Amino acid sequence: MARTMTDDAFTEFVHAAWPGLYRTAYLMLGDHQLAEDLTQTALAKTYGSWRTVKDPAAAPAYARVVLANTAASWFRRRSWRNEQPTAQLPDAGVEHDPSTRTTVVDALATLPPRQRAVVVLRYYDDLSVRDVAHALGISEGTVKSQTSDALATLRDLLGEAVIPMTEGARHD
Amino acid sequence: MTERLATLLRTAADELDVPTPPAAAVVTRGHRLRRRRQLRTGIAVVAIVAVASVGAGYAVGRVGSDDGAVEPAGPATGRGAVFTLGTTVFYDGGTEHVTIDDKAIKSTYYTSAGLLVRHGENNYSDGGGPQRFSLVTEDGTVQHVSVVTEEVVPGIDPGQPYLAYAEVVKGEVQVVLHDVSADEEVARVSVPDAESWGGWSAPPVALSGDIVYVGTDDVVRTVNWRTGEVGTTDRLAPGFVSVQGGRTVGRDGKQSTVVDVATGEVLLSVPSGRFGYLTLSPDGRFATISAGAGGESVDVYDVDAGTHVTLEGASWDYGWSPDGNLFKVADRHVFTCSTDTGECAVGEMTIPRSGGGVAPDDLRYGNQTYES
Repeated sequence: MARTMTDDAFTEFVHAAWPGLYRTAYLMLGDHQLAEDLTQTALAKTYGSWRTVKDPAAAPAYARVVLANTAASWFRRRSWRNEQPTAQLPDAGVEHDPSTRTTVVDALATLPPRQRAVVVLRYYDDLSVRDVAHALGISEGTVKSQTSDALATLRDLLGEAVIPMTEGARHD
Repeated sequence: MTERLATLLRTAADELDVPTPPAAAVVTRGHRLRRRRQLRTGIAVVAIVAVASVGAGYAVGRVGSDDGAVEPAGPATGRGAVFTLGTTVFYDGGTEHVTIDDKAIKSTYYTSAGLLVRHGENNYSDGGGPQRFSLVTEDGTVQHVSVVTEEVVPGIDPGQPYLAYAEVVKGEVQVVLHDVSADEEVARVSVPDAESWGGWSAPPVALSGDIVYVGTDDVVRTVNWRTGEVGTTDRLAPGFVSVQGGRTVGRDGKQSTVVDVATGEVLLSVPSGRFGYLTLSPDGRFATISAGAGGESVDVYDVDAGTHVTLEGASWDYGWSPDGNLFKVADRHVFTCSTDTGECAVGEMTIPRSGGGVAPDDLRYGNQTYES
């Protein structure tokens, strides 16, 4: 016999998964409104597949892939592609230690969207190259090259103390 | 090494001001997305059939042919665990069972007249075709209920014998109350300004006492089905409505709350961090909240007394019996856990592995909703 997930279980899942997914979304996009929209969209899509989710423990990882995949589809839009990376400060609304957050978040903001997503998924969500490739719908080789390019840019901005020179050559 | 970069990212993320999750909006939006997908699939199938028909017609032609209130459910739903397995309904702690004559059971609802069973061609609540209803009474008799719905979310109050649902008639939303014991419609109220909702064929509803809550996109509407009075409430988030025994869950800072929908009175407030979430029992007398980060345990609160007991496992592991205890089915046995003491007892009955129909091993607990 097998249990089917209930609405209550889904609601509880939304509350549990929201903060983590939102943080990933914000780091990827640098905008609170877009991050909220992306997180909501990812969870709404997860709802659409909820009938097939048999194990609640698998749901967070599934939702994270949906979130990354949705972000990747946004990046492919013409309007999104035409937007240039910016070194401007992201929107306000964050309580922070300026010496930490302005540095790394602002540095992220200078990256092209896909490079930024690769960095967040690899070094914040700690996904493997293969998982990042799967989540963003790109090849593992592209993940490695995008990582390399992104780290080179971030090294210039954050310094070798944060990203040592040897790291640029490490692709996996 | 990139440990320093990872640390900086985690620090930046931890400092973010994360907004409260809009769970009701997510469900509504998710349903609308799914509905759109189903419609696209349906259109594609129709197109394929149309092309095939044209092709077949051409071939034939060439051959020459030319053709509210907070009360426990009534005794009819038993005094122990209620669950379904395939098309078999188990009640009285699994010691009694009856079979529903249909392909699959979608969900069950506690009412004062007995256990209302929603069933149909498959076990889908959403997008699964006609939803038929039967009533299992105290003596195990299965009575046909003449209501047939499709793509709607019904509302039930365990203290009453009614099924509430909405339907659209000539472009107008109407709320219908059906007495499942007498099998007759007892009220029908128009909700003239209800215009959009999350992809169902009519807005989802919840029933508590004389009030039917209608989950539309802009605001939740209230319908007094006895007087016909229609109003609105801001005590429920628009979209998918959830009211149990006249109560709903809310949040006040880092406290999760149980609120009386009619008065706005906070009946229970428990610390839950920013993202903890209370879930009410069908009659609103109890509320559960996961106590461990990974769902290792669940706190069960008596809303009126404010006391609680702690059980092992995640809240979704458990169902509610009509008499207000928790239960779960595991290893083919029923475990019933007292909401007074937190102690669990295992029943002697061995539950079969399957229960008939097109989804014979599908286990569903009583009075849980499966709209997703």
